[in-house]
Amino acid sequence: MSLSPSTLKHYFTTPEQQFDAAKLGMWLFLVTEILLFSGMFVAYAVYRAWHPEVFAHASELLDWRLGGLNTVVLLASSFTVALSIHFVQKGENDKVTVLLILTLLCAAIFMVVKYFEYSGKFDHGVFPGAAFAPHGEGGGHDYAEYDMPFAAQFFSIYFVMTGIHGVHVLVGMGLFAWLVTRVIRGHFSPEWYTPVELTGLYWHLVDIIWIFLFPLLYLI
Amino acid sequence: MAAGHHHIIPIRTLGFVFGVLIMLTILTVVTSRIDLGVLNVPLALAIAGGKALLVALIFMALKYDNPVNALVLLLGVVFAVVFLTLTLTDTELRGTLGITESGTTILEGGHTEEAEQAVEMPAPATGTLPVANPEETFETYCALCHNFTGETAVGPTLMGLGDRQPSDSIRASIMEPDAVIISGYPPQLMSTTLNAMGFYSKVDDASMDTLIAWIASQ
Ligand code: HEC
Repeated sequence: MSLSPSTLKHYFTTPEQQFDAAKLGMWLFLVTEILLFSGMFVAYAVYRAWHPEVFAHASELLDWRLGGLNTVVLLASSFTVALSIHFVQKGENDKVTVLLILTLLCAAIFMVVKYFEYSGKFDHGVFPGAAFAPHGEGGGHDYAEYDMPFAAQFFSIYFVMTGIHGVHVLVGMGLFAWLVTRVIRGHFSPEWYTPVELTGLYWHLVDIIWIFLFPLLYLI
Repeated sequence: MAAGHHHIIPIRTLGFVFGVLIMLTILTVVTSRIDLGVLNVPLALAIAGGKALLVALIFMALKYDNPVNALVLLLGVVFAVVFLTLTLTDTELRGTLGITESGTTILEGGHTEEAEQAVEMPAPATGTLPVANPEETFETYCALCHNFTGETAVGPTLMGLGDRQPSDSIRASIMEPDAVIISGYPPQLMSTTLNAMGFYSKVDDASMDTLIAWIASQ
């Protein structure tokens, strides 16, 4: 099976060239994503350098077990995406479908865990910005203890960074659902699977961002 | 165009990388629970960097790819590092630049938001502090960040300070907080805040003496 002329845009000479161009475009987009997050990482670094003891204390309120679970879940989803590309390249589309659905499930688990983490914080008045007013007790924490100067900065940074990351996960879920319908409709073959490849790249980047967020926010 | 043109990464390789990523995650959790002093942060970042590199090279296939993609990524990372370094060189090495006199200083001092958050700032009025009532001075100007209960707040606890330090050095800590910064605490915070509150324009020798004596007696 070869590419139909309509799939190969007229301004490319070979499918290979078209594929490489699409990929380069995706990488350029990923770099803008890195720069978007780097602004937030810099904010984190500045405030952390100014108030190391407050950041160390405030991060104790985040449950490293939930953060760790989410890390494992995201890594697993990166693995299933990588496998799906392996199988789409071999033309085994049934496996691709299963793997993409598994990826979608992992992403959903990630969001559910985040939901519990967020609501646990909101219940005790741990909000981003001016609404920050920790109170009550729970999970072995006396929340009032965290009502100290600059703790609000830590939690604002936490909510903004994980929030924007979470939006990326949601977008990824939409993309995977769309890919699943396309695999089922037989749109992809070893000759042409560009959307799977590009969505995979996007998803790995979302994973990489989390790889940094986890230790910075939950552990140290 | 042969189907095998794109490099197909073997399942074994992918599985191996996944295994290593999980091990590194466990490693970063374990090491973060051990107190390694200043090494904790660099170590966690090194592990995260290693994981990111693995994902980029194998899962994202940069290792097998047209090198131009790796170059694009590298450029992005370089610019992120430039951004981080230049910003931190400013925020960390700013010193007392911008602190000139009370009232105006805080706007340029860089700790504006924080200082505002730390204290409900009374208007920096002039006048003198009560000589006879150092406790009131302490409650107004210092209690936000210090206590005598042994707990660390924004600033170090002052419990037993009188036994640890002669009054001359307590005086120096108050009048020139930035001359010696106790490690682990942010520089400029105390000086900027007290300056903004007008403490330095109100304190005089007599009120300072009673304040120090009172602190030392706690
Ligand atoms: C905005 C918070 C803040 C306020 C307000 C503040 N301090 Fe401090 N203080 C600090 C910090 C942070 C340190 C540690 C960094 C340093 O050495 O400057 C410190 C250090 C000190 C030390 C040195 C302690 C030691 O163990 O050597 C003394 C003494 C002290 N402050 C006294 C005072 C007094 C007296 C006042 C009120 C007039 C005051 N501080 C107001 C934050 C504050």
